[in-house]
Amino acid sequence: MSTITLERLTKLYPGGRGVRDLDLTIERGEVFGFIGPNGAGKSTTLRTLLGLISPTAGRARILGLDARVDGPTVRARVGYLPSEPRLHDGMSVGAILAYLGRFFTPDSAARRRQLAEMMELDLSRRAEDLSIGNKKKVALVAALQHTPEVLLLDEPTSGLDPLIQARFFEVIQSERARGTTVFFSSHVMSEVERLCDRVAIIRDGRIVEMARMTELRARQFKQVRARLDPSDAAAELLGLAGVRDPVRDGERLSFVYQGDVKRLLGALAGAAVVDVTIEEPSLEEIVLSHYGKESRDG
Amino acid sequence: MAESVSAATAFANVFRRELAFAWRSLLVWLVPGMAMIGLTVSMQPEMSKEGSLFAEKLDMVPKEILVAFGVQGADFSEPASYLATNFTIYTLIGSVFAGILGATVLAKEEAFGTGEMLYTMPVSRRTVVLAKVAAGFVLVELFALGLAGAAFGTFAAIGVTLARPAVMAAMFVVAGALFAVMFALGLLITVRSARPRNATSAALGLIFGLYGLNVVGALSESLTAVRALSPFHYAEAARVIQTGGLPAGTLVLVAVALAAIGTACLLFERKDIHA
Repeated sequence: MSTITLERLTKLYPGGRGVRDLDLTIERGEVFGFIGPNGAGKSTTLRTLLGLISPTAGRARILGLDARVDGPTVRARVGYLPSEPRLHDGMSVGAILAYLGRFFTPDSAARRRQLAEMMELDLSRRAEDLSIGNKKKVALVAALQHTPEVLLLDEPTSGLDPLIQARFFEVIQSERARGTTVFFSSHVMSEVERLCDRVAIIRDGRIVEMARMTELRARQFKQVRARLDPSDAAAELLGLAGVRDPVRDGERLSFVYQGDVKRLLGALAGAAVVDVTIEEPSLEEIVLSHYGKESRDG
Repeated sequence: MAESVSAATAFANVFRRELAFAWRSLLVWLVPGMAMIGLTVSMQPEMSKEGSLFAEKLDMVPKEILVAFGVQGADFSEPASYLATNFTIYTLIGSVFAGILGATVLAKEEAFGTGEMLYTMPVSRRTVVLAKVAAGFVLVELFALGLAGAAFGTFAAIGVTLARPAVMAAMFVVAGALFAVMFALGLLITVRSARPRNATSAALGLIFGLYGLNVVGALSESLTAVRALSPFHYAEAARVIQTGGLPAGTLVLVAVALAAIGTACLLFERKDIHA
């Protein structure tokens, strides 16, 4: 049984914004990234999964339960980190976490203390005195303190300093090792690249790409940088189908290649290549290429 | 594996939190209210001595005006009746407190963004709303109780023997019912709103509108029927004095409060929470 299932999930707002016909399954223990720019529909999808908003059509299920109908049962097994957590002013961090922890049984006080230590949180500080990053740490502890089976994270590292980001990655890795399913939205490609098994790219409320990270890279383009003998025009290499955006600067040649790698290697072998590097594209390059392609298609 | 606590435990958690959050607000409204009512009551012996003088002056005022402001049949020599002539101001202060409390009890969670965490806890929205409503009711009834305590306490302190303590107590019971209605109406009119400033303004507009309806309805015979639409009409202290106990209108107030709470719950359960 899948841990998270979206079946033609649609949520439309006046003006046509929202998400449309989202189909998605996330298996137990997967770390799944949901990538897209602001306004693409990432938060809407997460909020629908939590029952905060009702879908216009379709269904969202977590652990086999309907997110809206079985809300409390679902949410007992889910931890949620909002993108911009707001905390009750006038309460200490410890009081806020204890208040939220009292919605769960058994008591999670020990784990709460452990997580707070790990995130270097001062439980005695008042919410209104916290920076955005510290508020996020509080929300992260709140999301984890009841040892959830599923984690829904909305832009989890935005506002966190690099040290705390590193801690966050450690926490997610340990949750993954525990078998927790993680579904997180982000527009920070590096963290998605670092953490995810699979990703979906959402654009204007629709999923336009969904694949394993490895597949996504493999079937996408390569960045080729070669140093050639200046006398070689590299005509055969540049004439190869799948080569685009070539830049020649003296002995240096760089281009993007999309196609059969064996053909690329053959063409390189036929050229007067002194040195060559072939790099996998970063996720950012993949997404940008996807958005570029969509724009060209559109 | 963690599970959700029972609905009763979740209810108690939210209820305690609401009380802890709002008790300062209660004090801000209640302490001046108690001081005012104490001051008013402390003047009763003196007013009683000059009662005939005031009665003569009030006789010169048109009856419609006296009814509109709840001072018909004023008898300054009798403590409950004396208090009844001043009671409108306390019902108005309590109504404003209750209306604002009701208007912001849900809206503030959304407007401040704290609702995003609260409503993702394993508890139904109905439980959250009922806990908040229960805490709100406790606070507005504490307001009525506090005023009653100040009135009874001041009369005792100045050595005035109450001829009809049950009637005076009934005035505060009816006021408590009115505050419950105002809390519930404040909640109902703002349940779809996510801006507490707008919510407070809307609640104040509603309260003074309903109060004005009662006044205007008393001033004109052709508009008498509109008084039935105003909760203030059912909570007039003069009516309690005339009845000698709880007037039947108290049941109307209780019914309106329950209906408004039920409707607010239904609307809120269907609402999309965006922040």
